[in-house]
Amino acid sequence: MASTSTSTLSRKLILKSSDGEKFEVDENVAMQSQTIKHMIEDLDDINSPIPVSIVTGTILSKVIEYCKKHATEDSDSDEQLKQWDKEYANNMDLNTLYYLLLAANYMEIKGLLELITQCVADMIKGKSPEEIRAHFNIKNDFTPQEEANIRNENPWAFEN
Amino acid sequence: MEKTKVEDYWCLPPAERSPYLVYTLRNVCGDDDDDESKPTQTFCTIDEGNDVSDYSYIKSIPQLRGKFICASCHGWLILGDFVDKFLYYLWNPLTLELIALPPLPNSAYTDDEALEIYGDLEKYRAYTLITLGDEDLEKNSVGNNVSVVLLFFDDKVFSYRLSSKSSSDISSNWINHGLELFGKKLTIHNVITVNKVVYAWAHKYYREDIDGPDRSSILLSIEVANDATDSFTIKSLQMDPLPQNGLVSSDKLVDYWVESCGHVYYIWYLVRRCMDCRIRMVKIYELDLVGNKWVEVKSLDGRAFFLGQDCSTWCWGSNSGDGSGCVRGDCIYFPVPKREYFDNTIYYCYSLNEGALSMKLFRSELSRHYAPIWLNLMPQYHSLLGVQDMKGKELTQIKENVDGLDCEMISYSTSYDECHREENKRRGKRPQLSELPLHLIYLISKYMHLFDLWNFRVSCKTFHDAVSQPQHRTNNMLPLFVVLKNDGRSCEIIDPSLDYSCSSILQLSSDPFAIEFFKDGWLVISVDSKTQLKYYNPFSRVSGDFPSDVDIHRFTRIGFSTYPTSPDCVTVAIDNSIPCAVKIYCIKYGDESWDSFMFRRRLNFFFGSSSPIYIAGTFYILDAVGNLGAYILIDGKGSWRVYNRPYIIGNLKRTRAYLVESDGEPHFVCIRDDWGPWVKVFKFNLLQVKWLEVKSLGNHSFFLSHTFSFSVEITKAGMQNRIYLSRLKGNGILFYSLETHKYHVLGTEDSMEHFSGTQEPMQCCWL
Repeated sequence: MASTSTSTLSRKLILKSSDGEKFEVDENVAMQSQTIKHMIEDLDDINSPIPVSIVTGTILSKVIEYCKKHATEDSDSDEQLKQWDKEYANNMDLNTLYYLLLAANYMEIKGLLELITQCVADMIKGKSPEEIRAHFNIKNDFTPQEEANIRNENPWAFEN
Repeated sequence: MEKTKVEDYWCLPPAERSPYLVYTLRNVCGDDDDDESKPTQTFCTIDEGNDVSDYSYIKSIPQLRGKFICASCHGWLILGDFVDKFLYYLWNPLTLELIALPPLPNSAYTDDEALEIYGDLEKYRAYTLITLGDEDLEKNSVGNNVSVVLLFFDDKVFSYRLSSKSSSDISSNWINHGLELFGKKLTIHNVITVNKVVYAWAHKYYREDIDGPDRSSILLSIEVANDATDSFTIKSLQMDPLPQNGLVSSDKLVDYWVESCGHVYYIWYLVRRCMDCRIRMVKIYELDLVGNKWVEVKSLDGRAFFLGQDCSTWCWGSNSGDGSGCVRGDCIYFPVPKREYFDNTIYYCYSLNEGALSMKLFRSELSRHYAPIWLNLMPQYHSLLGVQDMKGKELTQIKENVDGLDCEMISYSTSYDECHREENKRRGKRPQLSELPLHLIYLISKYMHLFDLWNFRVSCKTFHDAVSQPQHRTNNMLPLFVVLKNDGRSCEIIDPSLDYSCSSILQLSSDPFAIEFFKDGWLVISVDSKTQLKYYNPFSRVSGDFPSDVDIHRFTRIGFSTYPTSPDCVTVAIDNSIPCAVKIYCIKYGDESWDSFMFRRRLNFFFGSSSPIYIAGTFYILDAVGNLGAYILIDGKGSWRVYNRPYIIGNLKRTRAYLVESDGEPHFVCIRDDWGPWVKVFKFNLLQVKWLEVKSLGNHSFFLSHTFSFSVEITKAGMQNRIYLSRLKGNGILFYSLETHKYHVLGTEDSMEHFSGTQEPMQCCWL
């Protein structure tokens, strides 16, 4: 492991998605993921593909796109980076966001996790419970009685 | 802005779908003749479609030449003569019939009064007339429906009977009646005639200040015998006392009668005797003569009432059954009495449903005119010969609309149905958000706004269990604006920081309450007609009671230093009821009773409209004209001092004053609400003991309300250097920008010069 510290920038890693797709990435890009960082530390041979077991190729490519952007330091101002993040998240459909969220969680990429959760929260903005269910394909699992009770749960009431 | 239609100068304007507010100006110069007695009348329309009342008709009606309008009742105008104050006339603007009444007897005025020019027309004068019933109309050959005219002058009443006389026969005379009950002379304050019976408030003593009924006032019914004697049958109506909860000595009560659909309504509002003259409470009661009680009215069933001295009227609102009106139903409209404001170009609209007051301005030239009169030219609202009256129209039982509120109703800009259809198409292909690991759901919830979080928790079990009820503000950068609805139990919450229009209605309590004070998310509320005081934090749901060992209903202002459950918290309450002294109640956290401190008034300190603010051991409070009082509590002993107000040019009448703590210094904000933007901010330098004008708030913004005002440091550029007002236009909050020097409406591009068309909720706070 002695060599890792000297040639970090030039080293390449291979990430392998759950469906077998392989991605060659710079080590500093992959190191955005805490999970991969820990894996590398434990691996003897960094030339063999690193399995990212629960993430598909499509999603992994998106993750790598995010990590690449955030690995290149100093190229963009904070403002530009935020703008890029916004566009990046806005271009995803709900399906992708869902799996990206799971991927960011699994791969422990803090920035991406925050970005996606914020994006999902923004989608909920201004929606009624019915609209939330419809938009996110959520089954209303309350019984009518339970739902009535919960709707009557006055969040601010000072007496009942 | 305003258009004046000058055609048909001599004719009445068309009958609009709402009554006119008519202003009379005596002197007209530069017209075709310079006759001083030829007044002009300005007929202003009340049209809710416009922010500024757009239309007015300037007329010079020949029948009104040399006359001013005293009263408008049952379709008739009672007119007074400009020159000869013994002459009165009746004029019916619908039939155009003019009746000259015989001169009043000399006894109508004292010698001094007879010589005096009409200076104070509102002084103890009341005018009404009794109309004929249907059965009398059939017998009456004359054609008009007036039976008796009644003029109430101080403790005298003059009656004149018209029935079965032609309009030219004015040979008979006025009859002078002394008003006495049980041997005591009475002075009449306010009258209305309904079904041939006159209802009037009478004082047993002469009072300089006409100030609504007090404890000694009696409600009378006066019936006039249908014969030549016009003899009176006066009865004192043994009513249950009129509820006047919330009336404190610093308020002035203004009251009116309205008759509508055969029912008699009594309406009062409270004006604060303070430089802002703020109207702080409006109540409507129906006179229940069977049960001898006052029944509070919470809905007008789609009607709109127009209030004025001896000229109140009503019509159906645009949202009512017949949909003919252009005014809002369940609203009352009233111009402010000139003597309160020195300005009669303003009228208010109070919405019962919203519990909010909005203000409209007419052209400022009208301030030179006589006090305006409501004139209802719509024939269907009057019982006239040949004109069908409204008797057939049955009113549904007026009921308190307090139970109908859903606990959680959220209004949004997007259409649910549309969204629903669109989303249903794609349903089934998607992964379930509810299948996410719980900690991810929780993570998402952390980015949500409070309103969204409430909805999110209701959408499915998983979300409900994963996310607990928030104990604090969530992601609302600015305080939430909370408006207490008219039922006194539920509130509407508006977030000024949201870029989409969203408000939420919540029921807070099953019993009505009033907001007395708020600070940092805490509310102080009074319940049980202000006999109990509680503190409550809606976020943490912590609540408690203040001791009620003193007369809590006397408290006019309340304030606390930190928050009520903090061990070092001091709460003060101001009692304004003691003349010549300042009385301050004080309680520390954990104490079981209030302490009180009394200081002799110096510099005529009369408490003003703002609540105390707390800075470094001292409570500061403004007085009615803007002087700053400081109350320091050291080792259980209070001390009191007063600093002069900042020097401001001009009259302080109609100026709202707010006291705000910002960066450890008291700031004084004054806002004129009748002209356009006049906002000044001063800061009190505690070391130099002087006021300095502030031109910019820097990265702060102020949040004002009549209950409490405060400053917030705001990081987001563009939201700073603003003064947020407790006023709404639609759902948007009004603010004043110290950069543009204009009022703006949040969430819109609207900017405005004055408050016209905006609403001020009676009970509101920032949390």
